[in-house]
Amino acid sequence: MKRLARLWGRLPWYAAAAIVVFGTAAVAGFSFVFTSDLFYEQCLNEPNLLTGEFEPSNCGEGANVARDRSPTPGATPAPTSPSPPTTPEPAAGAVLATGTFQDGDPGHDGDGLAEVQRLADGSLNLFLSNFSVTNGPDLFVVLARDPGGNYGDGDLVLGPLKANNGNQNYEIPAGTDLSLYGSVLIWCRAFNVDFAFATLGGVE
Amino acid sequence: MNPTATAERAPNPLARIAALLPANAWGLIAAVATLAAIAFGFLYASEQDVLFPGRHFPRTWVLVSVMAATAAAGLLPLAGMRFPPAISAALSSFAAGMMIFGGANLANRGTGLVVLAAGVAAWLAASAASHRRAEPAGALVLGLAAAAATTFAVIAVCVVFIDGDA
Repeated sequence: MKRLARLWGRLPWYAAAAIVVFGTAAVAGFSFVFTSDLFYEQCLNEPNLLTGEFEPSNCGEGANVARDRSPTPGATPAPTSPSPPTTPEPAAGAVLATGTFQDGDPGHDGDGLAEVQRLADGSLNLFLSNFSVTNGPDLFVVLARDPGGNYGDGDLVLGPLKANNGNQNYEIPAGTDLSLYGSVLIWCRAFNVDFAFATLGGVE
Repeated sequence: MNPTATAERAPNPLARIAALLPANAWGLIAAVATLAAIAFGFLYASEQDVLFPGRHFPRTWVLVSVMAATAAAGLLPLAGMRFPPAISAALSSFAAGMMIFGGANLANRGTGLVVLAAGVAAWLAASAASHRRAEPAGALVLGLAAAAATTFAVIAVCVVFIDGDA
């Protein structure tokens, strides 16, 4: 320890300052990118594209902050009270499968409903309603083959999770064979952790 | 150009800034900045509970409580308690460091950014006070490193033992 202190004392001030500044910035930057989400709750309320209506969510007034800067078209900050829909037009469509979110790996909780929808224009959509999941870094929404929500080969990644609370839509690519998938999974890519999953029932 | 000669001529800016105020004044600035960071840390945690009615986020409360407790310990030398110079420097650096690394974990919101900024201000002021008291500079770095390690230990405890919300 004394040798270390002596060595530090011999460093010119600018070298010592550079070590402190860059070292601190690197550790703080790592924290911000990889661990800050553990202490941060977000909310995004999008309308149900099948009905065109906003649904109640678990977010309070002012909580509507999306992780994604480009939310699904039609999304507006409408946190609690359902407001009159402006877009899109309500139209004939169908719910193809539903599931209720359950907790994932230990320490990771999930709640809410997952709904696979066919919209009026024939496109496929995943709607998460009254949804909440423990927040974390690098989270993705995945259609998983395993009904138990374990990530594996051949799973379909729909995109980054927009927010860890609220009502949200995720586009399912055209031509997807839904019968291959047994669950909706919230998956942490960085650490390969399953945060929550909803086993799907009633897939056509 | 001989870089060593340049280094000898170049004045240490922290030393020049430290000379502007007496050690006790720098200590007071560091203490105020640390207390402000603690207050904003608790504000961040309570804000989150308000934004999501009926829910409570124990991880955030644990982080800000540990930050507050360790920072309070670090304020002891700034409050005038006598410690060996190296311990005194390390403690005040540790307190400010907890605000910096804890604040980085809260920086997704404006209140968290204030924690981070106040932590940086507290560390600079604590360093200036330490310089004026001729305490060993290495102890400041050691305090900062200990703060980083403590923050990651708290995060690990949060991930393993504490649910995200209740």
